Amino acid sequence: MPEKTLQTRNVKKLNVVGLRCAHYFKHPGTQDVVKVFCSDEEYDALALPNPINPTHGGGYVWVKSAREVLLDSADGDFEPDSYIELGEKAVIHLAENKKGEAIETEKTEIIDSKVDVWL
Amino acid sequence: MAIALDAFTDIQTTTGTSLTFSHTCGGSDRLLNVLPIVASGATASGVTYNSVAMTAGGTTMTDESSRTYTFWYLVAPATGANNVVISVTASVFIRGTCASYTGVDQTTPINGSLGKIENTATSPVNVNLTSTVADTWAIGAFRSDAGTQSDGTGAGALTLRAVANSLGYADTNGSLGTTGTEGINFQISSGNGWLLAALIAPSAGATFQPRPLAIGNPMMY
Repeated sequence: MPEKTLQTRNVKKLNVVGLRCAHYFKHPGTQDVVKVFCSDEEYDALALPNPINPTHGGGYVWVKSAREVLLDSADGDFEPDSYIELGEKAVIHLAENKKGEAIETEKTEIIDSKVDVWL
Repeated sequence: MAIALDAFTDIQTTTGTSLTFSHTCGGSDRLLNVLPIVASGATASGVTYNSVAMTAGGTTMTDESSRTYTFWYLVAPATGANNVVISVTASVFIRGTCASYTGVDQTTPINGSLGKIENTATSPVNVNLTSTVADTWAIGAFRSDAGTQSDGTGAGALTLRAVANSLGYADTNGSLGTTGTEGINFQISSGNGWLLAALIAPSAGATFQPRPLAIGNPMMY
């Protein structure tokens, strides 16, 4: 693996305004991830026996679903290089993260909207 | 019947209160282990597979960032592709992974007590566990807070199965052989390590299956 380097990134703070459910699909070839919002009922149905798991066209394969935080961004999702605070922690979504991926750190690590990350 | 790995599912993540992913179980005398790793501020409130509630192992490990690691297990999980659902008590960063095994004792799947070591700078990171039946396997939840981590060494060496951001799930990928105390371990290159480990017992009539020879440590993260 290539050596990681410490980089300083500017990150924008977002706020949690609720919860909503989503399915995530990954393309086996490109590794591209697509997120599709779903209802609470559709999410809860995944827990039942013999579930009918979600599908997506274009060769994408379902990988996970979640009841996850709804944010105060335009689409309710993380923006590139944004973060939220949860208690003493911060969850950061970097521009290179795929949909649904993030890293966690102490919120005290973010100073003046800047954070050092190993990339 | 000897224990064998049936399948494992890579680490999935979310920031929220619930995470769902698929895992396929097969074979006979099955055991499913799910490992939720939950950030501070919440705890795992339940894990289900195919809507059946799983049982939490009695011991929880806490790492340098106050994440909690707890094994949840289910004897005789349904066969086929079904969903694991991890629920937590508040919105936090959640990771989840799981592995299923065949040839496991269906009455007492966990042999003896779980063991853990937290925040040690000694490599290998080691937990001594004592088996009272032959041919147990060990499973482990691990964390390395700096540097890299790799498979363990010696008779109790763990094979790292699912790794992301220097934490994850491991097992010994083979029988520990006769009864007695064994050092279950993985290696860290620097910093400190954490390990939560347990033994799983074979179903009646187990026959000794030698472990594959470990050659180097090709899985470096």
